Amino acid sequence: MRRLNPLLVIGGLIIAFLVLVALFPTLFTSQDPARQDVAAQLEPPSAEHWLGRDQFGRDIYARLIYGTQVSMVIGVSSVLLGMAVGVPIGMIAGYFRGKTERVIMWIVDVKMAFPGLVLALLFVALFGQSTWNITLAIVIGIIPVFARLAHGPALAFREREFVKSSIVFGARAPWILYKHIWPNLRSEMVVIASMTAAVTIRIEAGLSFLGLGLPPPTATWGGMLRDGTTYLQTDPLFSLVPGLAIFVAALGFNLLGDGLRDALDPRTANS
Amino acid sequence: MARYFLKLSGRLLLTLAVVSTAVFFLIRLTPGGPAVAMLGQDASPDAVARLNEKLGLTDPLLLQYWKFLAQLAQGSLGESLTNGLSVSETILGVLPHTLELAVAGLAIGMLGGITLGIVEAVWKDRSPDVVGRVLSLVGLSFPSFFVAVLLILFIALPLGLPTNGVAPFTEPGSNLQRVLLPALAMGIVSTAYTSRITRSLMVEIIGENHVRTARAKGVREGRVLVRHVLQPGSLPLVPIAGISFITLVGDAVLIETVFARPGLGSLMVSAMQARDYTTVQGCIIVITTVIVLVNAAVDALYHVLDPRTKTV
Repeated sequence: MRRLNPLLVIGGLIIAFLVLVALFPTLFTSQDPARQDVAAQLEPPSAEHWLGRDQFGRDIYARLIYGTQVSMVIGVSSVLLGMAVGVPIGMIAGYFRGKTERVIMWIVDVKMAFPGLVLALLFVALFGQSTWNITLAIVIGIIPVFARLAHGPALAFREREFVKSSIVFGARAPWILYKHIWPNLRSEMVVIASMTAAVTIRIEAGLSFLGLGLPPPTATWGGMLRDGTTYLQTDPLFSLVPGLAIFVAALGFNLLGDGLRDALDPRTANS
Repeated sequence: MARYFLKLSGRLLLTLAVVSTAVFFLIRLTPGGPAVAMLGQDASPDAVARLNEKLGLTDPLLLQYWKFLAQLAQGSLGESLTNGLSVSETILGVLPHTLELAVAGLAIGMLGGITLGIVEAVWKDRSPDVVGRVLSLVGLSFPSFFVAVLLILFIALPLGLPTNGVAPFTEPGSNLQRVLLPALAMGIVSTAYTSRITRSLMVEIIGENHVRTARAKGVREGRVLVRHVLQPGSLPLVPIAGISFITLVGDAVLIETVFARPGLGSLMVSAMQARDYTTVQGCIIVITTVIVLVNAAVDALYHVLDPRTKTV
């Protein structure tokens, strides 16, 4: 058996821990993240409030714990949705060629050229700041990424003997895409999905940071960082903590993706 | 050459037509207009109706669209719904600051990223490579706005550097001082991205036959690197620079907010919050134009630099 890649292990542990926090926040804190106490505004860390309190006297540690849910739910579900829509689109473009391919890839290229954050901002500003709208706003930017990556291999595998013989035997296109082309893309897509989650988490945090994420009083890492920057000189912990949380989550997914790439692809192993 | 520019302007017009039409209708078909945003949720329906009429938002949608197109054809982006100023003038006033920021960020990202990538590829699998790769994964995980906060906290505040606003271009010294940290915030993330791509490009080229041949001929290692690895490897970096630049223009939205810099990004965010349709529209149209022009420049540069496409 090959030695386990340390990056993979570290990344996997970070993500497993964050999933645990997101699923069972009460295991980690008994405080209510939304409970205000104006008398205790910006209180420094204490035994009861480990990371101190924010400008409304809310417990920063509890908000950090509950903010994990928002980041993980929106970050992961937008990657899964983007992959579920983008990969079939890319495979269809590569498999059918012709006009279908030209139209799909033109749309993909136009979308790819546009900064994902600007697109998400516009979408959320127009349709409102709900979990579903924010997820959708990020998904729109993610779909082309997966479509583009699925397109090339689909194009190449289409010409291989095992696909051609399947066509001769009368297999239909959806069957071929699902049974012959998708299995060949799968491991690459898992790697890309993990690294894309690092991007979607940062986009969600960016939206919240600009005040266009989930509206208050929901705790979001980006929103906490935004609040914290007002008190940067007097209370640096307030902005450092949520910022580090975003960083660690993104790092976890990046390490996991990078480690998986080495583990799944024997050619790049140890390179 | 003339045909090339004709094709380019055709593509620019087509993209702009699609984007501006989409934005125009999307914005107007969604709930909550500028009147509600300006007067507040509790405003009386009467007051909202009056303001809407004053803003010309009660006209039939197609008539509004026709006016919008007529203005656009004359190069005007209309007037802001919130302050009545010309949108094109407002945007032209802040655009140079955003472009300056993005160019500076790109310069840092490309310079740092290419250097790091080459070092990693040359010392592949040895300690500089391992350290570099971990560093680039770390850099790739930092949200640029958090880097900005860290730079303010650990560099600007202790050193007493300015942390907000811009200085006019007529004062290059203080202008540069104010663009350095925001550009660095964007450049660090960009460096990580560029270094990963440069590394895999260079590793691939180093493994190719022509490099082995050059080494077998006894060409010195330094010359092999410059002439046989970097030269062919620099071509694919041109489109990477284009993609990075566009990403940086998008990132400017966040960075300009952290550093309270006037710019296209901060203008767009405040216009979105106020439902200032015309300004949002204008910003999107200008960003699209920038993107199309950058892509065209990348295409052109690629053709000029690629010896295989000498005929263009």
